[in-house]
Order: sequence, then C-alpha cells, then structure tokens
Amino acid sequence: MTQAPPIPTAPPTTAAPPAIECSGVWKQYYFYAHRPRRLKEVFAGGAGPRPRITPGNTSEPVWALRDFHLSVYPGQTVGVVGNNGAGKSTLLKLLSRILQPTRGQLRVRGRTAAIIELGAGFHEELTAKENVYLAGSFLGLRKRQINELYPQIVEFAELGPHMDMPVKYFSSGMHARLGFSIAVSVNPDVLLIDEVLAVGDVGFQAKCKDRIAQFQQGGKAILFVSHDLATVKSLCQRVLWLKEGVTMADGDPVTSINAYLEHYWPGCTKG
Amino acid sequence: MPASSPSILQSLGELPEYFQVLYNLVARDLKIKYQRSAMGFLWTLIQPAFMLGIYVVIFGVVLKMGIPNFWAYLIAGLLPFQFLIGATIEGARSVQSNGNLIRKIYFPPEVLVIATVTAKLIEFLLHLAVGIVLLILLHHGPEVRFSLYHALVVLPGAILLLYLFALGLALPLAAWSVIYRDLEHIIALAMTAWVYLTPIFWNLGSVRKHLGSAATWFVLNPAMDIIELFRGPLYYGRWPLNQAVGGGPLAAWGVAIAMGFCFFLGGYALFNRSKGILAEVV
Repeated sequence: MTQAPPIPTAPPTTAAPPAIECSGVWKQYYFYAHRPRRLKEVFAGGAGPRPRITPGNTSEPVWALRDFHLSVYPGQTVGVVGNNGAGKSTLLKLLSRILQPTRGQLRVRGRTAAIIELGAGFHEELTAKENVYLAGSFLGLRKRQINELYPQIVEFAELGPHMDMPVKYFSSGMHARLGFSIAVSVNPDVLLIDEVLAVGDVGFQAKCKDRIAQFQQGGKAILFVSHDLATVKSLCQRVLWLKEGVTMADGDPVTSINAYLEHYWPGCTKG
Repeated sequence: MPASSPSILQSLGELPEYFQVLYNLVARDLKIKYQRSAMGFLWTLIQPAFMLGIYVVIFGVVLKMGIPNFWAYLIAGLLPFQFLIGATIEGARSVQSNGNLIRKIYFPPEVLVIATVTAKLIEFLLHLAVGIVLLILLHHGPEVRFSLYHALVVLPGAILLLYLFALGLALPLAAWSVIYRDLEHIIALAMTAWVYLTPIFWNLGSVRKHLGSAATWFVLNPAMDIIELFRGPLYYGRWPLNQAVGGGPLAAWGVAIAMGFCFFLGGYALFNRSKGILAEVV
C-alpha cells in the first residue's frame, strides 16, 4: 500500500475556486419519473400525467441524490463511500455530464477525465491500438496528440506486444490496464474514479496508486469512489458517506468511515 | 427532467470539438464492416448491383414499365433512395446500439447518428461513382441520355440536401427509438412502403393520366424532389424539374432545398428535446 503523500488539507491558502462545485443537486432517474411506455399506450393514453413507479407500496419518489452539496478544491482528494445504490456512481456521472441533474447546479472547472468503467469507449472488434485512438478522441484529443501520448500509454499499460490484437481477446485485467492508462495520460485537472482499481493485479494497483499520488502532488482535484475502505483511507484527505442519496457524513476519513461502518455493523470499530 | 433543451445553435457550436470522435466512429463503422472480410469493400458494390439486377428483370423485363433504358432510370433513382433507407434505418438504431458508449462517456449523442449516416453516405458515393461510370459508358438513348456537365453542377448540391434530409429523419427517430422500442419495426415497414409511394420504379409523368390532379399531391412527398435532383442530370441529361406540379428547375431546387433544411433543423430540434435523458434510458 502506497502511503498518501503529505498534502495540505484544504481549503487551500490560495483563493482558487473549487474545482468541483455542487449546490442543491437533486437527481431522479427517468425510469422512476416515467414508466417505460409502449406506443400503444401513447395512442391509447393520450396526454395527462403518467403513472409513477415506486418500489414497494411507498408513494415516496425515488431520488438518487437529494439536496447534495459539495466543494472540492484543487489538490484535494475526496473519497465517496456508501452501500450499493447510495448514489455514488450517479454523482460521478452527473459530474462527467453523462447525466443531467433534475434540480440544482453542478460545475467542474478544468479538463475532466472520468474513469466510470474501465474500457469505456472501447470497441471489441478493433485492435488495442485502434481503441487507444478511439478512446482518446472521446477525451478530446486530436490524432496528433494521441500520437505523442501513445508510447507512454503502451508503456504504462505494459501491453506492448498485444497492441495489434482486437480487444475482444483481452482479459479483464488487460482491459483495465489499457483503460486506466488512457485516462491518466491526458493529464486532467479533475479526475473522477469509480471503483476501478479492483480489477488489476497487485503490481498494477500499486502503479495506479503511485500515479494518483502524482496527481495529488500536482494539485489536481480527485473524487474517488470505492468499497475498498483501506485504500480510501490511505488516498483521501476527506471522505463523504452517502446513504440513499443523502450525505450522512463529510469530513475526516477515519471519522466518516467509522460512522459508515458503525451504522451497518454496530460495534465493529470498537475493540 | 432537465429543465431546458439546448438550442440547435448551441448544439452545432459544440460539434466541432467532437470532429475527431466523428471521424473515428465513421472509420470504425466502415472498418468493422469490411476490413476483416476477404472481399472487403467489394461487398458494398455487390449488394446494390444484385438488387438492381433483380429489379431490372422484374420491373423492366417482366412487368415492362415502358421507361427507356430502365436500368439507367433505376440507377438514378434507386441509389439515392437506398441511401435514404439505409441511413434512416441504421441511423435510427445508432443511439440504441451504442448504449454502452453513452452510458459511460460524455459526448453529444447526435455524433453517433451523424457518424452512422456519414458512413452510409460514403458507401453511397462509391455506388454513385460506379453508377456514373456505367451511365457514361452505356446510357445513350434517342430521348434520354446521361449528361456529365449537368451532373457535375447538380450533384454536389443534391448530395448535400439528401444528406441533410437523411439526418433530419434519422436524428429524431434515433432518440425516439431509445424511448419507444416498437419504433424500429415501424420504421422498417414505413421505408418499404415509401419506396413504392415514390416514383422510383415508375414514372409520375406516365401515370399522371390515371392519377389526374391527384399527382399534385406528390409534391408533399419530401423524398421525391430530392430524388428528382439526381434523376434530372443522371437519366434525362437536363436540369432537374419538379414532376409533381410541372415546375422548372427553380421549383425543383426550391422544394428540395426547403425539404432538406426544414427536415434537418426540425429533426435536430426534436432530437434535442430528448437528448438529455438518452444516457439514462438507453
């Protein structure tokens, strides 16, 4: 486990604006607001409010995020923990603009690289090399820029001999290596990471954590979603605990994580 | 759901940033389709040539449509219409079938539709080039003949309008296909019907005596005037005319331009209304 480098705890002394800013963000998924419709229902039903789907018998609407506020300053690494369905991935997808908030404001300053899922943007039939160019273009790179970055992407991924193979023959670990290498090669100002280190082997995980540490020292803002609480503790200066879209704790990693653990397994952090 | 949809100007302003994505998606489409098959790009020529051969036999030889050089008439009308069918059907599927991309990465989803329609356009241009070579070599009749001069003047504009028109159809259909799964099947049926409702295998002039003044209604068929832009120079060797109302080249261009741009802008506006939710519905 690499040790988190000493970084000044934020907000920093400089008056830099937050790299990530959320104020009063609410998100309700389309599925919960609109039942999936068939054409015949459109013709038969006509206008008027559509029935809402709610889990169980509760009439409570389902919100993935409720009244969410967050400021992350450059140089800060914030961990996000919580059970499945707590809204962690929704948060990252909102910040990377894949989803739009139902209400509220989000703002991300600077170039953003999101590793929502490794291998995103890959096409299985194309070779690894062709996929680097495809995925790179999604990150806003021109062909010339990808030409320059290509050697270091291959080197970081340690996939030199396999770059001309279609990625459908890749193992999940190879997918992960290539995806992470591409995402970090663009030198983003804001890095959004969603539970991605788990797939790589120990050696590659260590390498990824080293790279994340470099980003931290470079003054980047990082949002790190993971169930690996030990890694969250070692990487982050601040941890956010989400439960059903509501922020339950936000602050010192040990305090937040202990509160999270105690909530579900009372007494587990004692003794 | 998102309070406001982006305007067309905002959307168009964002697109240049994604040119490289568009280029890579088009290259990906064409590569996957042809790269790893032994005959490669030849397949894109064999399929339409085969269909043309069948239609020439059925409509020209068996049913005797009474159109001189019927094969040339078909090349001029059917090739652009086949592009329209392919672009609409595949463009309508493009967002749905690339769900794995838009769920995981941010980019304007219309890039997927534009890429699919553009890949189809490139195939169409190849078909058209081969078709023109055949027309130059073989299409010399007493009444009708191919004119290279008219073709060079008319075709660039005709191709642009056809492209915009196809995008205008594919964009909203792509968004709605994500929300209403039944639509894909309806589109396929509608396109089949449309081929026969448009003068592709038949000639509006020669059936006018059966239709009478009803022929004027064909001015409402948005595909007809754009197809007529191709048929003027390619088949008749003259400027395109408006067949429905009997108008000259100005009427033909006017209707075609209006159809091309109205469909494109209207289709894009409809697409934008659903754009914000595509990533969570697909």
